[in-house]
Amino acid sequence: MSANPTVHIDIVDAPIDLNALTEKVSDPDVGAHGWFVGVTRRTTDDRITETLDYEAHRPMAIEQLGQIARQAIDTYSLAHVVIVHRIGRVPVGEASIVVGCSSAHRVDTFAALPWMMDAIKRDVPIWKRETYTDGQQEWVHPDSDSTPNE
Amino acid sequence: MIKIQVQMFAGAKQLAGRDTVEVEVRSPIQARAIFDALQVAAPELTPLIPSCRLAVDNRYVIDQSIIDEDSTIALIPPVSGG
Repeated sequence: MSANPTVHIDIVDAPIDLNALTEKVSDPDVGAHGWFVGVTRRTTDDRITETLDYEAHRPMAIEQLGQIARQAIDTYSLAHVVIVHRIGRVPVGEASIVVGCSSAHRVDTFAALPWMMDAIKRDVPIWKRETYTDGQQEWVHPDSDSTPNE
Repeated sequence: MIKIQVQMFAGAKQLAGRDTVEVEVRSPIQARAIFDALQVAAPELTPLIPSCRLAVDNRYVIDQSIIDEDSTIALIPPVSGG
């Protein structure tokens, strides 16, 4: 475990530059870097997404993301955590969220990524509104989101 | 009675048609009472409220929590980030 774990949290209105984030989990004492990239998917069952828009309660989302990152560091002995969520309109194929972490051994990084994503989807005040090609719009409710976006 | 502003987001903002809803509650303010007062101040929120959480100063609170009237209060509909 790194002597000085770091957390990088951001909510952005523009495309996420994954390459620029890689250095934030780098550390001579880690052997594993892990990344999850959630992107806008075109199809949900038989419906086609025209646009996907995200809205956040920004100060609360930042605080909640920081809590999740710090808890992941404690639980999984991570060295570093990066969580960046994009809000506004996110076109099909582009990333709405990037979660990265690093640890001495791969097992911790592998375990931490799904745990962080589940916590984010449960607790962080960010909302997704689908606009389908048939013109219908809906705020995605977790119960109705039978096939998660990514 | 105390008047407080409750911030609206996403589907709640769309249903209420505004960014904040003013509610009237008695002191001491219990979180549960804010849900009840919201249904009076904005009846259009009624179908959504059972699935919402309340956040005070950027943290979720339980129904029994006592809330300071100077806090920032937000109605949090089911989230769907990621």
